[in-house]
Amino acid sequence: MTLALDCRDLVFSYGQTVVLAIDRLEIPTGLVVAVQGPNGAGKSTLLWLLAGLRRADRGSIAILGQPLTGRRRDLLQQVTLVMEQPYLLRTTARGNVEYGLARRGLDLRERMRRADGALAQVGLESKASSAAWELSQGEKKRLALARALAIQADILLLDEPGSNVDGRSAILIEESIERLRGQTTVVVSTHDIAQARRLADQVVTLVAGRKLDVSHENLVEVPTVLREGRRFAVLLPSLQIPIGSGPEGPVRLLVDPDSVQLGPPQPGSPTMVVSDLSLERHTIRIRLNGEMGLVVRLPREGLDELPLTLGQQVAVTIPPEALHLL
Amino acid sequence: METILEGIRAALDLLWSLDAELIEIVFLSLRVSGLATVAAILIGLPLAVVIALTRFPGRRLLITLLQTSMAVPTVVIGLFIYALLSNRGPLGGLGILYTPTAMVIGQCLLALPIVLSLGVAAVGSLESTVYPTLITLGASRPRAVLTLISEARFGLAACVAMAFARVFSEVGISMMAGGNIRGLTRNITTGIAFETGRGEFALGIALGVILLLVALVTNLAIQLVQSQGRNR
Repeated sequence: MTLALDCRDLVFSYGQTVVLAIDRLEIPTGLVVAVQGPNGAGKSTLLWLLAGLRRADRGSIAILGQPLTGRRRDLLQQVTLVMEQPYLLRTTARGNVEYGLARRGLDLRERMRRADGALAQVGLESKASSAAWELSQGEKKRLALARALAIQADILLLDEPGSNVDGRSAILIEESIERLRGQTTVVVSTHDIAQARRLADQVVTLVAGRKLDVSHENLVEVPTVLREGRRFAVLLPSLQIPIGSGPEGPVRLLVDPDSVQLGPPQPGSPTMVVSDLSLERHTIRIRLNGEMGLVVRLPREGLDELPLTLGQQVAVTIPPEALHLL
Repeated sequence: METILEGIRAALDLLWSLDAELIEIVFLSLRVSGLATVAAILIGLPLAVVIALTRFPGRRLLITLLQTSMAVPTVVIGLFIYALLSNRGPLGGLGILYTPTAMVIGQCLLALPIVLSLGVAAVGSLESTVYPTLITLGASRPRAVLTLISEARFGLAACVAMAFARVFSEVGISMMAGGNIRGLTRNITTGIAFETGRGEFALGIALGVILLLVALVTNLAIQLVQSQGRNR
């Protein structure tokens, strides 16, 4: 499969602080890929690098197989970014959408046609002649999306498209992304895991600028103890899991929600209470509460083996391979 | 009190009858301050855009110096222009001391830090959001800069109005570089100082009223422009 974006050994720093260090990131064409992670994980920085707005200290980015260099800035015509807090030009909604089209040399008739089409896609056809600054927050975000859709770039980068918008805008934005699936490569950054799971064909997790193979939902800082030369992470007094060697002291861990096992309560095994259940694209997300909070993800068919209801007690097993030391 | 009231009555007569000397003084003020502001815009705005959009060593210090130089007393600039253009000065050969040209140069020097400082602030405040947005929409760098300037138009218009208000109401430069020569370099502020000094309150007050009116109109324009910018 052709890669829309291919990043290797990408490093970006602010001064002495490395904010992004990714060994390899491959994004195939036509997929919707979510970049998820907590605040400060480096999601926006990654999108800015992919959009050519920042230059990496090290490493390479290839866009549609072509290396992005200072001399190949024309490649950036294939990419467009909608920022988390988009700036709208001091003109009408249609004027905003037309700006990028004019830069691509389209004539007025084509610009109008494409602008009106893009505005209709995000439910703003009736606001085409309205001043951009008069729109609501959600409408402004939709307008910024329409501006990017009209360009019809091969790669669309969306930074937190669902943040600070009303429910209707959130739905319209997600519907627009859904329509692009298979035609345009969409990279969406979000701290909303549910949104990432709902929208994306692939999910990339960033934590502290590093790409991880597990979700960041269960990011915990726990103490460790040494016993018989082995180091144990103390998730709960009754739940201590070996994590290899190292000194005693607190550690930051990720507990992979996909690797945690649930079963009927057993005497002597730690139990937790189901506090929330939500359906995702292919999986079901279960929030457990007890002495600590934990998110667990099961395939939908997993519910057949262990029917779950809110308030139900379940035994939790965390295998050592579910723990990732940061 | 009676003197002041008499002065105001006489001033209103002068204004009502469109006294020739009064009109000449007002037009000279508008011409000199207008030209000085235009010159400061032509020199200052491009420089402000360059300072706002580029990063170079000492940039912060330069901006601090520009902000500080907005507070330089007008008599100091007047003194500098006098030293430069007087017969013994390096540009004395030009013979332009005590002419409106000298006043324009001095007022331009007064307006320049205002245009530069406020221009850098107006463009700089939008740079981090607008410039990347325009690049991601496919704008070339020169086009992005032009659009950025257009987006900053409300802030820039306010800075131009403030520069004009400052030079229109200054007296130190006009007095030292212009010499307050009747019919040649006497403007509103030097006229007020001169007429008041010799006890001719009527013309002084009439000029004062006009100065206040122009200041009022300029301030209203600034407020209008800024409120337009805030709404958008």
